[in-house]
Amino acid sequence: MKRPLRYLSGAVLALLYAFLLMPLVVVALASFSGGEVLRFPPEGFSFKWYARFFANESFLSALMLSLRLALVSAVTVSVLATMAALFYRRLPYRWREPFRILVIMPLLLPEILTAIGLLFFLYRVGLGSSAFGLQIGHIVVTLPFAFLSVAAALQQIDSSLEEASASLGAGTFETFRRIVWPLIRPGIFTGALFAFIVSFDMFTMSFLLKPIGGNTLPLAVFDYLKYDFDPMAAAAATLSVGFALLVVLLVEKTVGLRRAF
Amino acid sequence: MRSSPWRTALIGAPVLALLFVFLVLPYGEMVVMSFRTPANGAPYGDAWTLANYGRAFGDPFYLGVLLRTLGIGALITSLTLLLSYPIAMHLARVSDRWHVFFYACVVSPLLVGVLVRNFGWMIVVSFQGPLNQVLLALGLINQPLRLLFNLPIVVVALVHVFVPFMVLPITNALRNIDPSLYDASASLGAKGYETFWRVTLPLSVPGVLAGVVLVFVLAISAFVTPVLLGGQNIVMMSSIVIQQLIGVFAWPFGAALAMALSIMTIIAVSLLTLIMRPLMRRTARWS
Amino acid sequence: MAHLEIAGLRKSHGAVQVIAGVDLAVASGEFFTLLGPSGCGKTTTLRCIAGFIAPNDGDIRVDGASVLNAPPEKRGFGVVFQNYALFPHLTVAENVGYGLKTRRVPWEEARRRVGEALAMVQLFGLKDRLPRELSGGQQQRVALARAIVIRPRLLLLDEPLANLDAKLRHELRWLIRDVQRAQGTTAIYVTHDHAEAMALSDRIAVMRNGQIAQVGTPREIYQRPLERYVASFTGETNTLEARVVAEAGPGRYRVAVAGSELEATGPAGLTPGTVRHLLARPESLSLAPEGAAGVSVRLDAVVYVGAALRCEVVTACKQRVVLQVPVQRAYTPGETLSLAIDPAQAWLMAPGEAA
Ligand SMILES: Nc1ncnc2c1ncn2[C@@H]1O[C@H](COP(=O)(O)OP(=O)(O)OP(=O)(O)O)[C@@H](O)[C@H]1O
Ligand SMILES: [Mg+2]
Repeated sequence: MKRPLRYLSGAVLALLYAFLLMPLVVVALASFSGGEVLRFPPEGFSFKWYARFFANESFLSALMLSLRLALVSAVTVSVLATMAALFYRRLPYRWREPFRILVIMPLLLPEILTAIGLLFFLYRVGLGSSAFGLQIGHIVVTLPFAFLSVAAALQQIDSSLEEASASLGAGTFETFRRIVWPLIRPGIFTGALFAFIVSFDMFTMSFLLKPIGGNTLPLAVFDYLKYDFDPMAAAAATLSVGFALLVVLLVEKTVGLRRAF
Repeated sequence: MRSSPWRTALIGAPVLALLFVFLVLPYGEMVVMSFRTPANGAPYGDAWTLANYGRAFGDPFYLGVLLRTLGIGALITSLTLLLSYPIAMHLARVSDRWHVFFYACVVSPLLVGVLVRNFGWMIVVSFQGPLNQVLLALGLINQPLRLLFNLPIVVVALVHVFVPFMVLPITNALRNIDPSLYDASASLGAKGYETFWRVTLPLSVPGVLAGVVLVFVLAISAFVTPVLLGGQNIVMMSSIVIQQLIGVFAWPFGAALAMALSIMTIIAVSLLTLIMRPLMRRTARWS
Repeated sequence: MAHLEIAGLRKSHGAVQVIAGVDLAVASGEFFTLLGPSGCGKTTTLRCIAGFIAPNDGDIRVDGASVLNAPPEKRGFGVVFQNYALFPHLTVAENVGYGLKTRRVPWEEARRRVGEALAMVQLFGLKDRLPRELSGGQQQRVALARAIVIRPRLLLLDEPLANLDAKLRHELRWLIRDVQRAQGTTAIYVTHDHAEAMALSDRIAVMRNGQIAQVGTPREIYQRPLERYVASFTGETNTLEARVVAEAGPGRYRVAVAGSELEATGPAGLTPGTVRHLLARPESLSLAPEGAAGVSVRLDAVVYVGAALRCEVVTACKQRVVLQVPVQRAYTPGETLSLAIDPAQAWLMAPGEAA
């Protein structure tokens, strides 16, 4: 490429990446502000907004609910997704694609439609506005993320490995325990991380299905933002950014970002 | 591998049960709900009616919102594609040493909730936010601009939300292209842009289509961003539906509106797939 | 050490018959090879034996007892895979010891046997490496060690050398043979390389479209093929159309080829007038000056290939024959010569398509 052209494309790329990162950086910077209002550049540096965040009853209970939802979702979904991925691999060929599409349906369908359907259904079976209903909603939506991750890991395992194991005398369960499980463990772990983070940040589903008096952190931030516009919301939001960075780091260390996405 | 069909069925049962009960049945419930009559004191009545659909498609207001939503969706999808393609090209050929960094740049926004990212934009364009500060410092404006609660900021924020969804499938498609094809193209006398136009672009069509469909579907069903950044001024379909469900408590009509949105989505996506079909068939042979 | 019988084996994938009735008997301690072109069903046959797939029909018996109802892990056969199938998360020693672990062999004994197996395949000092840290040849040795350490009743090998370069292929060929001999294991070996099959096997089964075309020792397959397909698959061949003129003794005939009469061997009971294909391997042919006994031919092309001259000649009936002759004499294309065929090596086979 000619030199000016290369500088130009470099500049365009730099702008694009800046566009991607700007809102996250801005939120993080704002959360460490020492001033009383959100302004740029921030006045001074302090942790006071974090202190206020953790002193705030409603934020704190929302955080706890979000963490609980995310944790339960991650654990449940990784077990379900592992079973689903093993099942997928054993299905006769012509059933595989339909099954895969069914499992990742919640990812392909707009979250808001799934949430509306669940709202009606849960009301109908008498579980409307219950914590259980909300948890179910989170599990349904996070399932595809974990499934894709485990299925990708499983796909890396050549079926001749299982055959080799069988020919050496290992039964189905022993082959799973000694060969398949160690090889898909990183995939399951990644899947659980995705499920956790997606659940932690889920908004629309929680908005429609939230139990009476129970707020998740995103809902609490949303409510807060409607009336206040100060760095406390930024502190709450930065927690989410921090989680995301942690996940990125862990995924890169375990399976590699390029393989996971 | 051979294995007993019973054991296989046992592994699949929990997931199939979960999805049937909490995905298939709820969607069925939504369809049923859209044919119900409204009632006083309850979310819906016992009788059946087509009136909800008559109103959803007949009332100029709702029809207008629906069409407007589709238009905004198309606009957002095109902009997202425009911004994503260069990033995907870069990501597909970035050296091993740097890929972690650039992948992280694309993936971390994806992992941060939509709400947080919208909030980031609120700060960016606020009166004392960085954008106004920069413009003021450059002397381009005399007083801070009021940039919130209008269509451009909603579009910008949504494009930002969707770029990773577009970048990742295109990157995967590009990475599947055999690099020797570029050399072959060059050896046959194609200049850089010709190779891009005749080899790279056609072979990335499957990824582009996947990204476009995903982003379009997500864009027209976006809820948080229009509410948070558009306020009362930008009315999109999702907020109307939610308003009917939670504000007015008119479940049957809300369900009909949601169905109308789904139907339009399916039509739009099918049309797009149909248009892309000839291209897809060619690339399938190569990939 | 076990003998294997396969009777009426059939397997279809959907409408496609991949194995269309295979019958085989392999003796205890024998090195038996399935040879055939790509797609003829060799792998499928082997996988049926191993138990990875179930045949639609037929029986597989080892030492007289059917194994069809046993899952692969109960059959006790060692399998060497074409892609090695080494467990990527286990070290060399753990890979080799895997089959002993599933058999709950005590730790001390397992360690000793792993050491012996690794020594047998001549791998030293690599036992704590992971498979990805090994070369292709080393991986193949580990795969072999893993299969033999369990002292399998049958050793099944599916093109174990196909992914290696020519030199390694030669080296490992002999290693496989030595290990099999040392253990006295019955081995079923799949390949599409006839040189490999010839060198290794006690007996070879040549397969065609899911059936056995011929079973025999390498010598029988090479020198006495029943049909042209088998001949063409086991080395360079010339086939000439021949008509039986008279029987010249038990299994010996006078035949007419391209206007000349010569002597050839063939199966018993050919009546005069039968048309057959005469198999003439390049090394059974020689050229003499015009007028000597043999078939009159015109020299079409000569190529110097180092150890010999490779000549292409054409008979009066426009049949093309390739042979190699010593370099001593100079030949000029276009000259007329006489082609002699060693009667002991000239063989009459049933007409048919080449592979
Ligand atoms: N799962 C399957 N579904 C459909 N057809 C199959 C399947 N497995 C094998 N076949 C077909 O069965 C035939 C025999 O396959 P097989 O793998 O046994 O051949 P092979 O002799 O081992 O060939 P190669 O030398 O190429 O390995 C092929 O034509 C193949 O296409
Ligand atoms: Mg094969």
